[in-house]
Amino acid sequence: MGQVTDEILMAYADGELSPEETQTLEALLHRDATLRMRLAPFVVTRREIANTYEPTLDEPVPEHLVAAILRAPIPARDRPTRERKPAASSESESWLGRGLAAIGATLFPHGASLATAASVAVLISTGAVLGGWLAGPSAPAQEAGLIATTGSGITASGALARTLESTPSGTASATDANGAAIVPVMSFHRADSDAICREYRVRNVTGEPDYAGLACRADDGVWRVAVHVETPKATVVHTETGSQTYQTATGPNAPAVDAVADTLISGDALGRDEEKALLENGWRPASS
Amino acid sequence: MVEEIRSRMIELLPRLRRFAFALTGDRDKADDLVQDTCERALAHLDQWKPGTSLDSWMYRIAQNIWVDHHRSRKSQGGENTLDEVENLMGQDGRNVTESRLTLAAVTEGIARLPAEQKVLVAMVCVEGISYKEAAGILGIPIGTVMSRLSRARQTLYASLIEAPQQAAEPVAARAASRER
Repeated sequence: MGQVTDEILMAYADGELSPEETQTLEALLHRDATLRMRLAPFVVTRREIANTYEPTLDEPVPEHLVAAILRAPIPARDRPTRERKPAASSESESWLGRGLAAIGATLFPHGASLATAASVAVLISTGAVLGGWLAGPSAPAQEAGLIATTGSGITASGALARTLESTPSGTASATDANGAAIVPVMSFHRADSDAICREYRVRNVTGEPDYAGLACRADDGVWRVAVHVETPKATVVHTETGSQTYQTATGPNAPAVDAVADTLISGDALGRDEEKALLENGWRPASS
Repeated sequence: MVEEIRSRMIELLPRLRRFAFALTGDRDKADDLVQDTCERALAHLDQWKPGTSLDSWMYRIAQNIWVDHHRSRKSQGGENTLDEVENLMGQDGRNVTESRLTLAAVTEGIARLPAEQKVLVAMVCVEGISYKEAAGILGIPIGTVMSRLSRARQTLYASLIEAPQQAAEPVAARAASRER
């Protein structure tokens, strides 16, 4: 490594050296106290600066900043219209409605941190128009074990994870211990990745709220929840022996979920056969 | 597409605010800078090449706006009040005094750095951007990134060590313990 410059020591403190360089330098550091002393400023500043500004990330983002992004005029470029299965679609045209879509999308993609999700979720709950909608994981759902907040974000767990993984759209899961039945409503390919997303409804027979949501399957098989909102109680439910069939066409609308789906969907929802093939293959494309 | 870009901008807001706060040292100025950045980005969306990093592009816009502003006002360093620092820390129990003093030493030390060094400290040490990406954002060679950043950190370290005894102690003590 020749002469060890300050820049090299700094690069080591910042984790910018290659494994080989790191190994060589560490051997030198091990036996050279002067070198260790020269390293100190870089290690200390890196740590102290990061610690100083870290708390800023956890603060709620001021609403006016989000509004500024949502309201800024769109330059005359693209504005594609997407086809979408009409089933439970309820387009929201206001900027707030579109904002919801945007915010919902932020809860999932591109490695959004939990802090981001949390601060944005706070924002939604303060929007006057959105009163009654719970964005992000709500406490009751968390207690029921359907949703977990993990280091990698908000994910489906328990009966919700199992149902998303293995139940075809339009079929209800068996009622779980907490009295919740889950129905996947549709599946689709994400526009910006190969991931599969599924929209779902959760119906609680015990008087707990009902929910609608959307989750996308990550490469590791975890279903990450993009949006999960409380919905009005469903009115039409056919009960057969041991299982329940859910009438999606007459099920509760969930404009927030539809709006998020609109931002994520590529083309149309998967057909029944297409979905079946993917489901039976662990959500991987059949060939390739 | 545009809606997706908006959502990615919203997602970037917490980091952009942190970056802007590190540059300006002031909450309100930081949020003004973030707002200007987002508005300028959306107004000039045709200048962003899809497929390239939106984050990098946004950081570049933010730093350009800040540098322009900084030049026009001809630099007036640390405006950090202790209130500002208190807001940052909140009510965090027993070590609050020590932390606050260290915090003040860090923010004041950064505030005194020349603009071109401050930008690099904010990008690399605050935002965790790599040397290479920082060089790309600023359009300067990676060697320049490293020499500027190295000088900034030496200066900052010296100011932390020289800071009032109570503030310097935890930092210096930890630095010393690392030596052994």
